[in-house]
Amino acid sequence: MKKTLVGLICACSVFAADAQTMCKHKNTYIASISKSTNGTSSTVTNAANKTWSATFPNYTITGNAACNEISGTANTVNTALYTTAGDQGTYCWCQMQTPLSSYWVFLDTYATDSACTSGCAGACATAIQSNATYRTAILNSIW
Amino acid sequence: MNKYILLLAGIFFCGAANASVMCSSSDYVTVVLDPYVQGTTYTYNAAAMTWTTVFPYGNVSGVAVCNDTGGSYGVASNDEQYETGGVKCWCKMTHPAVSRWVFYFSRSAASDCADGCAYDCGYHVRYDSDFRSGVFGSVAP
Repeated sequence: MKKTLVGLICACSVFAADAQTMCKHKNTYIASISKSTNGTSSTVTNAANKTWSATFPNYTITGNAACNEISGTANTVNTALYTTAGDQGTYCWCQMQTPLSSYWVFLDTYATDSACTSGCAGACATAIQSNATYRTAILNSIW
Repeated sequence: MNKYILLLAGIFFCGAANASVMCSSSDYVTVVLDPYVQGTTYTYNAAAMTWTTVFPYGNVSGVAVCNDTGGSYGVASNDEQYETGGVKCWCKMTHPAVSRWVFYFSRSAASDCADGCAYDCGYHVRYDSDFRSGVFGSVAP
């Protein structure tokens, strides 16, 4: 048992004070993400599909954005949106897809549908990268 | 195994009594999907082709499809799988992480697959560590 644990520790190397990482040891999947650590960059990976990514020192978070007519308040989770988030409206929602999949978390309200369509994915990426409060809301919505 | 999990949880500074595998410390959110930990219950929705297996640390859920692409039991495919109404049952975890598609079994009729595939996914993720290994082990780190 100790050998297994030591092997897992060595294989994953997640125990430095500032480390955040994802790894697999045999068939065990481990993901550990800091709420407070900001990313270094972010981008919209596919504007049409509203997908985004944010790069952190040791990994990349990717996810989805959605605009719909379901209002929310800042950083609130909507578990009912888990499978279908909608694709038109002024309310912008973000979801982490990898390395862990979260529920949808409300981000912002836009003045028009088109403004949300063009801005929501980028806003999700920026919020995940730089807004610790929002990142915490996403990470706390995993379960 | 319990000792192993608890030690691991301790290292991640996750002290909650029920947080043996999923930990949320003051700063880190840590998820450990260990195929040797068995589920406690499962549910499925045959019409929606969705399934959920309850583990001591939280719910693992996913989707199922039936097509005519063969595979080996518990082995993940590198290819995307789509619902085409066939007899081959495939399972994919979507929460709390996204796995690849893992093959379950060939049913004798397409209707059997449609009726039973979501059930099969939830059942085998709950009970079979080999099948869980295919699912948890196919998450891209």
